[in-house]
Amino acid sequence: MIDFQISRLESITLVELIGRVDSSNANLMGDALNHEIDNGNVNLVLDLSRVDYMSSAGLRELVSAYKKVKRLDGDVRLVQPSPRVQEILELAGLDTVFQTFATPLEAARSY
Amino acid sequence: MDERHLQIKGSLEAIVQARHFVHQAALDAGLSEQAAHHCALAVDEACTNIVEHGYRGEGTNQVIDISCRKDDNGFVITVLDDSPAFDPLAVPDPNPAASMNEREPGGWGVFLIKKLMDDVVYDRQNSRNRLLMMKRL
Repeated sequence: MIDFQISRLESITLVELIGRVDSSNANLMGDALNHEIDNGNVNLVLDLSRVDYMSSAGLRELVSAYKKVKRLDGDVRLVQPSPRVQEILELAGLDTVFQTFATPLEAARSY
Repeated sequence: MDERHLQIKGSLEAIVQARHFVHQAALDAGLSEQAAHHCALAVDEACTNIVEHGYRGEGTNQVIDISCRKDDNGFVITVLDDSPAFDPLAVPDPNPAASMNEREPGGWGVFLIKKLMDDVVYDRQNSRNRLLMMKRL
């Protein structure tokens, strides 16, 4: 079960993810991110503070979005990955790829 | 803890049942919450690979059998499926230190299983793929 809230914050697009990201629903997360990117919103902030579970299917969508926005001079920045999400980001070596911030506002103002 | 069994359909939507089943069995076996989470994530990744690659998304008429037991070494999860013989452990590990330009987005499932579990073994049993994943107590 995953839910999204998408809003504008300063000049960026804030995507708040809520719930569990696994192989049965990661494509929904990917579709939401692709929709924003396709509409020119390439500076993304993903609030992961309320994602209490993410499998490699979620990592796949994060990396896909990252690669896509980088080609368009954008970025994907993260807010407060939960300890479980942080653990798999670290195992996959992604904790050093994605800049991480304590709050959505801090992440927005980093652009 | 007695050995427990669960059979799920070979679909992505059914995997959550395996995750909850393994998580609870791991807690009942005495594992910590974090270790139980690792076991649940490992079975999720194993079942996802079976559905996406073994059953090629067409496994709704096929099943995955999951069992959990506790032995002297630890908590053991066994996953059995009927897709063609495939050893997931033979796939080269992705490199976590690779640059993003060199990376494919996917391919991290088996890598996570190996990292999260203490021992992982693949073999064939009665013409089925069998993956054993062990977490020390």
